[in-house]
Amino acid sequence: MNRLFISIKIALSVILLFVSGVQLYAQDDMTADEIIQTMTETMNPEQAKGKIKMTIVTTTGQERTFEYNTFSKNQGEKSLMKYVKPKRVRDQAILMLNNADDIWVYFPRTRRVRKLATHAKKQKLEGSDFSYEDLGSSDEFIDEYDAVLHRDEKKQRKVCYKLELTRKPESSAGYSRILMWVDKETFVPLVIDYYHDVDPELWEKELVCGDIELIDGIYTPMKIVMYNKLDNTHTSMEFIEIKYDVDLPDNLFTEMGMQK
Amino acid sequence: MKEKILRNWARFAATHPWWVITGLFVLVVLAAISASTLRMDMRWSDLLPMGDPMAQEFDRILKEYKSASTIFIVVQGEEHQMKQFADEIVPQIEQLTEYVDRVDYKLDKEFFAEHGFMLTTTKDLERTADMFEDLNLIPFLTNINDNFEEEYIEEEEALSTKEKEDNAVRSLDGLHFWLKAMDVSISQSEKIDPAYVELAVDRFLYGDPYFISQDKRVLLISVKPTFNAMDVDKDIASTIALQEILDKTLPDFPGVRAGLTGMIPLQKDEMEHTTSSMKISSIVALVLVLGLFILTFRMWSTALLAGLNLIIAIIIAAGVVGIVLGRLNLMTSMFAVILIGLGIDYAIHIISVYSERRSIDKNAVSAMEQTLLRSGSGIITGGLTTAAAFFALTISVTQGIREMGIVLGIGILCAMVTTLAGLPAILVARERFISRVSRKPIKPYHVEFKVLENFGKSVIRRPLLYLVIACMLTGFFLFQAWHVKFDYNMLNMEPKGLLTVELQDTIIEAFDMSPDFAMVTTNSIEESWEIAEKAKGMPSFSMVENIGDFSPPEEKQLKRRPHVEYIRKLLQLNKKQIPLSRKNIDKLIEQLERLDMNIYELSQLAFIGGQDKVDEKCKSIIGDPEDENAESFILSLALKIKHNPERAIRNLNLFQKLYEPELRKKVYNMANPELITLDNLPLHIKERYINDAGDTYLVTIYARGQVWDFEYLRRFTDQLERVSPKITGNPPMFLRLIDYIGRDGLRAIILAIFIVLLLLWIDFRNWRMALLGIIPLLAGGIWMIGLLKTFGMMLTFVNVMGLPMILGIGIDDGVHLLHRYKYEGLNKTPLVLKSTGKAILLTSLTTMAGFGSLLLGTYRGFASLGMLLAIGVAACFLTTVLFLPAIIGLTQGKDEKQNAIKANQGID
Repeated sequence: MNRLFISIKIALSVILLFVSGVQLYAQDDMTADEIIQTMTETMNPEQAKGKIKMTIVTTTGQERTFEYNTFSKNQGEKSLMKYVKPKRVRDQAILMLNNADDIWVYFPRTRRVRKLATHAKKQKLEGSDFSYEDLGSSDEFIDEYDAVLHRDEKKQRKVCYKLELTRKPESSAGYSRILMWVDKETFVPLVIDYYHDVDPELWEKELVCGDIELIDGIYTPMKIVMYNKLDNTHTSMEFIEIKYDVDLPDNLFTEMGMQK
Repeated sequence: MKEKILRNWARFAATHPWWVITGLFVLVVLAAISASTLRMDMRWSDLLPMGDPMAQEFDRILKEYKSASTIFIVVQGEEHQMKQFADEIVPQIEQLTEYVDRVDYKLDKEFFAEHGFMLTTTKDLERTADMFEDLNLIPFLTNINDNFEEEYIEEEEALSTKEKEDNAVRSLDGLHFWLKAMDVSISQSEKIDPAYVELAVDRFLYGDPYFISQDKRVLLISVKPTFNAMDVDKDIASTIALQEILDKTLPDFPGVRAGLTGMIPLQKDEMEHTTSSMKISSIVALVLVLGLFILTFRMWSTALLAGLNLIIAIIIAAGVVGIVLGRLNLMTSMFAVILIGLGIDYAIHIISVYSERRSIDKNAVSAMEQTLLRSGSGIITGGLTTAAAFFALTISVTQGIREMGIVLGIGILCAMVTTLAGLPAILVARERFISRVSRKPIKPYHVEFKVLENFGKSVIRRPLLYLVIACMLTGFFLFQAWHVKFDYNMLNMEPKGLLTVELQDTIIEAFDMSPDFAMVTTNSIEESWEIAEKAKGMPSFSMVENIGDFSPPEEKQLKRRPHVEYIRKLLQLNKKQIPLSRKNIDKLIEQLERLDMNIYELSQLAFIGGQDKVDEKCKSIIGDPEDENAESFILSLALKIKHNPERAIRNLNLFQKLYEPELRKKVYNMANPELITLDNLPLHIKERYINDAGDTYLVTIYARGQVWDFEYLRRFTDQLERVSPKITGNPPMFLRLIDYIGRDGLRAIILAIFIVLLLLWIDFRNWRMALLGIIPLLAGGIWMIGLLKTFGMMLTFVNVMGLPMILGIGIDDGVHLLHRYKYEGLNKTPLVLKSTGKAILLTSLTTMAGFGSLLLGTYRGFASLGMLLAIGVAACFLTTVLFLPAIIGLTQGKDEKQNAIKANQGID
């Protein structure tokens, strides 16, 4: 069930993570913290609206594809996700406020809005390979990890900063270690490798961002795939549409907004 | 020196054939005596290196726990019939005390009924305690709804692991059964059967006692044997005994199907199929080889004598193996088939040249002399290089491969020596015998392969062209070989349509659990608990069994105790039954409708979350949300109440009267606050998890997917090692064996190439000749894998063994050709190809026939090996006749070449 809320967060985070208002030019003398900081700053557009296609693998190994509209405001503090496909979940909506500390789900058939708890940050989206923190929304990478900059490496034929993030001793983040390749030109992380919570040598997941397009002046990876190295599954997310130049009303992010 | 020995031996054997035959006979008798003492060790664990810690730990667990192997009986059919069938066969199985230690097919209800809540997590107790506040129908349903929303909707964590998903399904199933009892109660005109109500209460509290799949179509019976899977004799006997019980009982249950699976039945099936495959292959190989012989030499008796020579060689080899090793293992058991294919080669070389020489030389003695001079050196070098390549396998750390190297090396040496020593005498004796009987001189039939001679002539004219063609083909096959794929699914080695294998998939599909498991022992309950908790978080694991499931660590129990005591207190506070009436019946309907909504919402969340089992279970209660005509069982129940409220009130009050005290009593018993210790744990549970000495505890981890898919096995084992470095069990041991074999194979290949090169140098005393000998072998290896890919096949765990083997086999062609060149001269390509080329073509064909016969067996692993080796032998023949004459032709000067062309015109 976490997936519900995390799906929203992912949708949101995808928007947040991979966008930047202005094109950034890397400086060669940037430190690891500065790179993470810059990357994180680029993750916070004021508003976004998009349509996402997400394919998950169910617990019995079936592939299932969903399409939903996503809306976010206040740099991701508020977000709404409305299912479009498949028919069974059409108009089902999920609202997240206060950076997903408060989550509501609306079921059109029962016409009930249920408030849901979170506690989901570290958990896997059932059936998918994402978890809330995989996309490092808000200040996750800055607050929870110590970063070290390694020698530049190429990924997807682009020169990238290679960063190694090690979980701070006091942190409760879900990964002991993260390797990240951030495009020097766009500050989009092209590949992120996540290592197991307990075992820093156990490679758990790999996030790969592709099809990067400039939309409303913002670099956006139109496709991201998370590969789970432990159970050999993967989950893909594709933007069908994405807009940043929007003005979303506040009442969209309410119980009434969910039901519209 | 070598020539002198060969000449003298040929003369001696030809002049005193019966002495040699008598000596050989004595040797065969002695060898047969030794061979009769050979032990057949068919346990695949015998293939692992001695002293391997994982194997030692495995043996220790087997000895101390006896539960390292499981036979699964998979029952399929209609729920009620399956359960009846299980109840019928289990007592019969339990009587097989020689093989059966324990049969599990039902939940340990008694223990759970006494301690259920102490086995429930503190978090779950916090959620569920209030559910038992008031057991009257309306408040109880209200509390169920509250609890439902809290657990599955408000607390999303509840479905975060497979175990929790299973628990959710089990709870829904219990609730569904309880609702059905309500429905039965409403629908019946008479009073509902109290036994049925009790059953509904049991299902609500404990779930379905049988090990049955969520869709109720597959039931599982687990049989723990008194022995381990490595004991193949008992594998076979126990599987037969169990199958007999199934076969005897199944006719009484027409709708039920049942079969055996797990490591033990699979071993039995494998044994049966490999044995029958070997029998078929051996017979076919012998017939094909002799058939080729007869077709080529047009001599029935010679073919039979060559076959006799081969049988003698096999008996002598078995005798020597009896002395050296004293046993055959799973891998070496097929040595006879390999020797049929390889050992006959030496006879072919001798008979081929001898038949040629008999049409030239005036008597048998000088013909045999010339025969051994021309083919003897090649046979010796070929035999030694082949044997050396096999002996190179003895550097392996795996016992199985090492013994295979020893056995095949000995076999080849025996075949070579027997053929060189015995066959000349046998051939001459045959000739003398026929001459005496028919009183006419034998007219030898000499078959010539003109095509090879013509090919030789063409090569010496255009050696560069042939070399370029050979190199281009090698380049192409190298490209192909580079892209060859490896089939990582070990089940593809098994015979097609094997029920044991199919049932493994059935279990995985129905229970999300593989019948294969790994084990680890710990020194305390706490350690077991910790390992189990860690294991439950790993994605490749399904069920994890440990002593902590029945006796959680004291610290955990102490935290749970206040909640358990609270449940008892609640039950004591509120004992009054409040009957349903016209006034409150609407509340009941309202709660039913709320329950329907809750389950629908849960179903929607499960659908988005990809939790198919929960979704399916929900759908079975409230109908498929995607089907507009689907009916909700709960809403139908509510509708029945609305349609006839008077009757519903009357009947549901009766239902309440029956279930309420029963539920109260059972919940009270489950809420036993007594700490569960090893002292009050039932013996049958302790036996499962604690060793006889009482100082170690067993944790068993089941795989979630098919462990015989190598990639999955690798992930499963990797995760096992993360849980504990001491882990053991059939899946990780098998992976270790594969790793050992891979490492051994590579080392053996390198060593074999080095030894072969060294032997060639010793033989020719010339590095150029030695290198020349190895070129077609290396090219042949490339062609072999390239051809495999070109034919759309893959490397497998079994046929990969053919790679080091081909080194020993493939070198022979080049050795024989080079020896003949050495004897005849480098400018005699057409003659060499006509004579020795014919012989190596025949030996290649017979070897291919030998290996090709493996294709006829049902065991696909051997078929893949046979195919690869047959391709490899053909490839080595082709590379030998292409590369060697072309390279030799190129090394000849222009004048030498002209002379050679002229000289070879004389052959016509």
